[in-house]
Amino acid sequence: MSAAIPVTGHASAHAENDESKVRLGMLFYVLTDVILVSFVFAAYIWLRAYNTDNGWFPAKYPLPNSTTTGILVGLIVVSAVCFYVAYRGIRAGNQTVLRVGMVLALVLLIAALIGQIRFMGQQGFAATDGSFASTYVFVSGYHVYHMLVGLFLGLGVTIRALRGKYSAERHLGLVTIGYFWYWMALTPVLFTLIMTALPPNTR
Amino acid sequence: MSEAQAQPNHIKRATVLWAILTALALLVYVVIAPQLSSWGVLPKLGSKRLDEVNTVLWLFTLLAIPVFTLVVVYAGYAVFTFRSRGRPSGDGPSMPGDRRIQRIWIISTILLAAFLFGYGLYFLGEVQAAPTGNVLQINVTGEQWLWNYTYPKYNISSTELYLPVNQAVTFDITSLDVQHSFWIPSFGIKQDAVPGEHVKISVTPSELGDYVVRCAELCGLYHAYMETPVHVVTATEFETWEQGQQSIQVTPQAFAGPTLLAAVTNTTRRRASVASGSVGAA
Amino acid sequence: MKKLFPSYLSGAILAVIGFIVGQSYVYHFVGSGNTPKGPNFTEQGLVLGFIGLLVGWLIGIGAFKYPITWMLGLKDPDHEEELRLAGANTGVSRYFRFTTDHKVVGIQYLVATLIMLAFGGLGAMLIRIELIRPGAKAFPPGTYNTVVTMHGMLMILTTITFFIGPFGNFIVPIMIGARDMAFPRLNALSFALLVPGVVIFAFIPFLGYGQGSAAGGGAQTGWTVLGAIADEGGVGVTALVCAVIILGASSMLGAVNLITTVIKMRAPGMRWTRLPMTVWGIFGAALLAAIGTSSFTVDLLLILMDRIYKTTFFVASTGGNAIVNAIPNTNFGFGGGSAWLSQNLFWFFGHPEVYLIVLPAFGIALDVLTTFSRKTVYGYKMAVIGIMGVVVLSFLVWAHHEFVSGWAPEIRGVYMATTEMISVPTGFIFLVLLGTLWRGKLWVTVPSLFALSFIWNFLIGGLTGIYLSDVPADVQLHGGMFVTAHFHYTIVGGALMGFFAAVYFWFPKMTGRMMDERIGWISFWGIQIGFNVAFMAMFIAGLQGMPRRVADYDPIFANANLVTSLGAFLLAASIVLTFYNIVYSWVAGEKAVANPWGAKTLEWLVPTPVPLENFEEIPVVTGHPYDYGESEHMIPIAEAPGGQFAG
Ligand code: HEA
Ligand code: HEA
Ligand code: CUA
Ligand SMILES: [Cu+2]
Repeated sequence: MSAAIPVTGHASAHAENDESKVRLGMLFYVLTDVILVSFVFAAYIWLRAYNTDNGWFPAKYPLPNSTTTGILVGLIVVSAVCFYVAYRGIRAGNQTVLRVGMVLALVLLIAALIGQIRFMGQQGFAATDGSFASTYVFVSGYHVYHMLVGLFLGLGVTIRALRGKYSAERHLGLVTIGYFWYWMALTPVLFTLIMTALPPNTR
Repeated sequence: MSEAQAQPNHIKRATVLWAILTALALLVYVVIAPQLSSWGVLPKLGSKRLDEVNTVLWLFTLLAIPVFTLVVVYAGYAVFTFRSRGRPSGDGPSMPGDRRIQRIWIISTILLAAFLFGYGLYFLGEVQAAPTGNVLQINVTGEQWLWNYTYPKYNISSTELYLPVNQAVTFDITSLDVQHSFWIPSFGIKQDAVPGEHVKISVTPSELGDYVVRCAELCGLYHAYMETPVHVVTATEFETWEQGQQSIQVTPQAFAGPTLLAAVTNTTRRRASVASGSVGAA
Repeated sequence: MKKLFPSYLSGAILAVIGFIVGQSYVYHFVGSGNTPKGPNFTEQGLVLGFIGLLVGWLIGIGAFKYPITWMLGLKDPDHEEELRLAGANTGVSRYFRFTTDHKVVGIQYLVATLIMLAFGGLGAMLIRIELIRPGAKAFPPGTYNTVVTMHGMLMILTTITFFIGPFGNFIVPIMIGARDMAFPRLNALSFALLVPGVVIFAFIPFLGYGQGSAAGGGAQTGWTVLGAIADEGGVGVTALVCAVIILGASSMLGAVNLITTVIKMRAPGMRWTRLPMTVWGIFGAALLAAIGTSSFTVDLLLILMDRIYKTTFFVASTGGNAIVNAIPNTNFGFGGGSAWLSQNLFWFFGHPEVYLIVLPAFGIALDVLTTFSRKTVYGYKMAVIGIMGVVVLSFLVWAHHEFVSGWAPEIRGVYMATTEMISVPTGFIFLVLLGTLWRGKLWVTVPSLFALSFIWNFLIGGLTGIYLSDVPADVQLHGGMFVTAHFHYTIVGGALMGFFAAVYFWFPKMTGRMMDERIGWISFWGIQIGFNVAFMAMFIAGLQGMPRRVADYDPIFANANLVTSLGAFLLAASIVLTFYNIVYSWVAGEKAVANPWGAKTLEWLVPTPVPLENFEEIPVVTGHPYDYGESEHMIPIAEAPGGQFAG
C-alpha cells in the first residue's frame, strides 16, 4: 500500500468525526436492541400460532387491565415527548426548556417504572399460566429493564443539564440518549399494538 | 503476456492434469461405490428409501470429485510450478482478475447449484409423497430413553418395533418429554419427536431382517442407549407376534432404568457397561 | 495501593466477594421469606451469585469509573487522561488492567482465546478418549454429555472471538490507518466481559449433582441448548446460560465497535475499495455478530425464565397438563410452549454464527497468500461481493438445521435452495484464491502453508455441506457423525487453519519476535495429517449410521472411531507444539524487524513494537493495498523500511 504523510495535521477534522462516530455507535447499539426486541415479539407471534394443545391463554384468567396499561404506556410516551422538547430547547440554546423538559421526562419515567412494577404484581395470572402469560411477563420484565437503563442514562443527562454541560453547539448526549429514549417509549406501544392485533383471549 | 508465451502453456498442462486425475478418481469411485454397502460403510439395506438416499450420495460424490480436483490441481500446480525457493526477489505479475474467467466460474457454479437443487427437489417430492392404499399406522412416542409403539389397528402396544415386510407404514411421531429423533438408518428415515406435536412419516420396509432404531437427538443422560431393535418379518410372523402382544396400555411404558435398556437392547456391550456400573452413575 | 486498584487482581477479589454475597445473602433478603441464609446452589441463588460476580469484577477493575463521572457531570477526561487509561508508560502491568489501548486489548484477547482453545481441545481429547473403544469405559454418559456440551460451546465461543478479538483489535485499526478503535472504553469493556463469562462457564462441570434430577449433573444439553432439554437439566444449565448471555453481550459490543471503527475511522484515502481483505472478512463477521447474536440471547433469556420463573415457553402441554411435570424436580404450570420456537431462535443465530467463524479466515487466507506470492488479489471486487453475499444469504438458510424437526416441512425446498445458493458466493473466494496463487512467486513459509491448507480442508468441508443441504440426504445424515465431520472440516480445517496462519503471520508485529520456523513446519504437517485422518474416518462413521453425542456406540463403528481417536491425538500433539512455539518464541524468539514478510498493508509500515497511538501523523492512503508488480510502489523486500512515517 502506498501512503503519504498528510499535508494537514490530524486535529482539524477530528471533532466533527468524533460526534458522528458516537452517533453512529449509539445508533448501532439501539439497533441491536431493536433486533432483540423484534425476536421477543416474534416469540409472541410464534407462540400464538404454534402453541401446543391450545395452551395459549386459559379462559379463566382475566386479561391485563387495559386502563392501567393505557396509563402506563401514556406516561412513557409523554416522557419521550418531554425529552424531545428538552432536546429542541437546547438546540435553540434555551437552558430552561432543557432543564424543565429533562426533569419532567425523568419524573415521568420513574412514575412509569414504579407503576409498571406494581402492575406486574397485580395480574390475575402468573407467569406459569400458559404461553401468553409467559410472554406477557417476559415483555413486561424486559420493559422494566429498559426503564432501569433509561433511569441511569436520564439521571446522567439531567444532572449534566442542571450543571450546564450542554449548549446549542454541544449536546451530543441529548441526541444519542434520545435514540434510546424514543425506542424505550416505542416498545410498549408496539407491544400493545401486537396485543390488540393478536389478542390473548380469542383463539 | 509476452513473458507468458515464452513459457510452456501452464493452463493447458494443469487442465490436462485435472482431466486425468478426475477421470482416475471417478473411475476408482465408480468401481468401489457398489462395494460400500458390503464393506459396511453404508448401513444394511432395509428399504428402498435408503437406496434412494445412497443414490443421492453417489451422485453428489460424482459431482464433488471434479470440483475438488479442479481446485486442488490448479492450486497444487501453481504452488509447485511457480513458487520461489526462499524469499522471492521480486513481485509476481500484475493480475487484477480476468472478467472472462470470472464469468465462466460464476455461471458454472450457478448451473451446478441449480442442478443440485432441481435434483434435490425432485427427490424431495418422492420423500414427502404420502403412501396410498393400505397403510399401517403406528404411533411412536419417544420418552427418556425408550420408544413406545402403539398399533391402533390391532389395539396393541410394544417397546419393540415389528413391521410386516412390503407393507407401507406411517409413523405418527411425538414425544413425552424432550426432543428425540426417530431414526432407522437402514430405512433411510428420520423424524424428530417433538413434545406436544405430532408429525407423520412413511416408509415401506422391503427386506426381511433385524435392524435398529436409534435416537438421533441429544435427549439427556442415556441418549446413547436409546437404541432399540426393529424386526421386519413376514406377514404371518407379524400376525403371530401381534396376537401375543398385550392390549394398549393407558399410560405408556415408562423407562425403568438402565436394566431395562439391557433387556431391550440385547447387545453384550450394554450389559457389560451396566454391570460395570459405568452406565448407572450419572 | 494505587497500583493494585483498579487492576485485575482487585477485580478478582471483588468478584469472589460479589459472588458470595449474591449467592448467600441477597437471595435471603429478596427471596420469599423462608429462604435460608448461607450458600445455596439453587437456580436463584446461582443467578444472583453470578450477577454479584459480574458486578464485583466490573467495580474491581474500575469499569464504572467513567460512567459515574459522566453521570455526575464531573470533569470530562482530556487527552492526557485518555493516554493514561490506554496504558502510557506503565510497562507490563497494563496487560493486567482495564486498558483501552487497542493493542493491549488485542494481546489480552489473543492470550485468552488461546487458553480457551486449549481447554476446548482438552474437552475434545476427553471425547476421543471415551470414544476410542465402545462401552463408555472412560467415564459415565452423564459426564460425556457435559464434556461434549462444554467442548462444543467453548470452542464456538473461542472461534467467534479469535479473529475479531485479537486481530480485529490489534491489526484492523492499524490496517485502516486509525489511532485506536472508535470506542476504546467499550473495547476494554468487551474484553472485561469475556473474562467473567468464561469463569462462569467453568462452573458448569461442578454443578447439579445429587439432587435427583433426571438429567444428572453438569449441562447435558449439547451446544444447541434446545429449549425442552435445557428446561429440565440441572443447575449446570443455568451456569451455561448465564455465561453465554454475558459472552454474547461481549461479542455484540465488540462487533458494534468494530463496525463503527471501519465505517468512521478510516484514514483519508482509505476508500472502501482499498480496504485489505482481512478488514472485509472481519467486518462481515462483525455484521453477523451484531445482527445474529440477539436471537440466541432471547432464546437463552427465555430458557432462564423457564428455569427460574417456571414460565412455559418451551414446555409443551398435552390435554391441559404440562408433560414435563412427569420429570422430578420440575414444576411447570399450564404448558402450551413450543419446542420449535427454541430451535428456530437458536438456528437463526446458529447459522450466521458459523459464517461469522469462517469469514475472517477467508480474508486472512487471501491477505497471507497475496503477501507471500507477491501478487494482487485476483478479483478484489469478486472477493468482496463473495464475502458480503455470504453475509446476506446466511440469514436465509437457518432452517437447513431443521429439515427433520417436523417444523414446516413444506418449505424445506426453499431452504435447500438458499443453502445451495450460498455455495456460489463462497465459491468466489476459491476462484480468487486460485487466481492469486497462479503465477505467484509463492514463498513457502509456515503462514502460507496454513493458508494453503485452508483451501484443501475448507473445500472438503464445504462440499460435504452440499450433501447436507439436500433434504433426502440430510434426513439420513442429520444427527450423525457425518454432520460432525462436516463442521469440523469447515471450522477446524477452515477457521482454525486461518487462525494459525494469522498467528504465524502477525506474531512478529504483535510481539516483536519471529516464531520458530522449524517447530512450525513439524507442527503444520502433524496438524494436517492428524486432522485429515481423524475426520475422514469420522465421515465413514457417519455414513455407517453412528449418531452424534453418544458416550457409547455399537461395535460396528469401532474401527472408524479408533482411527479418528488416533488421528485426533496426533492433531492435538501437533497443536500443542504450536502452543509451545508461541510461548517459546514470545519469550526467546528471534527479534523481528518491522516488516519481515515485505507486506504492503499499513500495519507493516509502522515500527515494531507499535507506538501507543500507532501513527505520529495519520497517513494519507494513495494506492491499493496489493499493488504488487506495479514497481513504482514497490517496497524493498529484503530490507524492511522500519516505518516510513512513524516516529
Ligand atoms: C465455519 C463453519 C461452517 C461453514 C462455513 C459451513 C458451510 C456450509 N454448511 Fe455447515 N455446519 C456447520 C458449520 C459450517 N458449515 C456446523 C457447526 C454445523 C452443525 C451444527 C450442529 O448441528 O451442531 C453445520 C451443519 C450443516 C447442516 C445441517 C446438518 C444437519 O444437522 O442436518 C447443513 C445442511 O444443509 C450444512 C450445510 C452447509 C453448506 C451448504 C455450507 C456451504 O456454505 C459450503 C459452501 C462451500 C463450498 C460448496 C465449497 C467451495 C465452493 C466451490 C468450489 C464452488 C463450486 C461448488 C458448488 C456450486 C457446489 N451445514
Ligand atoms: C468450533 C470449533 C471447534 C473446534 C476447533 C473443535 C475441535 C475438535 N473437535 Fe469438536 N465440536 C465442536 C466444535 C469444535 N470442535 C462442536 C460445536 C461440537 C458439537 C457439540 C455438540 O454436539 O453439542 C463438537 C463435537 C465434537 C465431537 C463429537 C462429540 C459427539 O457428538 O459425541 C468430537 C468427536 O470426536 C469432536 C472432536 C474434536 C477434535 C478432535 C478437535 C480438535 O481439533 C481439537 C484439537 C486440540 C486442541 C485445539 C487443543 C490442543 C491443546 C491441548 C490438548 C491442551 C494442552 C494444554 C496447554 C498447552 C495448556 N468435537
Ligand atoms: Cu432420545 Cu436421544
Ligand atoms: Cu447452517
